[in-house]
Amino acid sequence: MNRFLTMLTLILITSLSAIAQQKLAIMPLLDNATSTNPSAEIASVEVSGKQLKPHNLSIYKSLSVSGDAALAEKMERAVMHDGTSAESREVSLRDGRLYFGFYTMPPAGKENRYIFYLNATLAGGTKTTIIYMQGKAGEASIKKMIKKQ
Amino acid sequence: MTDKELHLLIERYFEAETSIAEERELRKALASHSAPVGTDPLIDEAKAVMGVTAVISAPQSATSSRPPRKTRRLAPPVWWQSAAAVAIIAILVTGIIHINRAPRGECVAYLNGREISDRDAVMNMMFSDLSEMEAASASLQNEISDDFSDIAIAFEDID
Repeated sequence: MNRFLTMLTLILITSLSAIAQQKLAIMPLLDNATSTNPSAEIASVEVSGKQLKPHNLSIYKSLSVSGDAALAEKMERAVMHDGTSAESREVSLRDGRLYFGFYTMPPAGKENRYIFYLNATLAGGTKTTIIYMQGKAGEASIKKMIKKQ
Repeated sequence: MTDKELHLLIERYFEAETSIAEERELRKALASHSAPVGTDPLIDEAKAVMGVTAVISAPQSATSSRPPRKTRRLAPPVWWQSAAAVAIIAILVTGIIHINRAPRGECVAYLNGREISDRDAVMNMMFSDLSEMEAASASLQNEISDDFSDIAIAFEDID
């Protein structure tokens, strides 16, 4: 009995560690971003299921913000935090700020995870955008997918 | 089983050191023990605790050297066994919550708090996001190509 409980405790610790590694800092923003600025514009998209099957994806979430520098900064910090644990990254900085990022994150189970980030305000635009995608699609497929748009 | 062996087993039972098989053996031995009530206080006490027979309360013998013990001492709970049990429940609950949160065919967008559930409109928003990313990604590739060109020119100058 004691040995069984010891094994169970070890399994628990390993599972909690694995779960902690899978959590992304961008998720709370993607799920529930709000702005205190009444003139800010916030757009979020969530797609899952059969709409994404042709692209070999299971989850698509995005957040775009205009007119809220504080929220945009929060988004940048969250992306940079998650980027530290990325398996691969393509980033571009402008004026010391993150302008564009494409990160391949550690998989969640058998599904790959990707983060896109773009701060268009650093190039004359108005929006800051995060995109999160999860699915069996490989990196090459993802790049092909965005090229088609 | 001799009385001496029986006494030893009863002592171990009260110290919470007996296995389930030994307790079964003890119960059997007590049930078949034929000594009248009052002749062996320890055996009478064990019978009373284990509920083997109805024991008529007899006055404690003046010569009895054993202090009265009415309850069996339980082994103290190990704290981490309780913690492990709580952890198992937590894992099960987390797993159930995770399963309930799994994507179930959502296609929805929100614009300044207003819900957009029209599938085509939502997919257009999604592809618009991706198109902006493509433009930025292409721009990054161009920057890299330009950098490589500059480096190549610099190498030629050196040569």
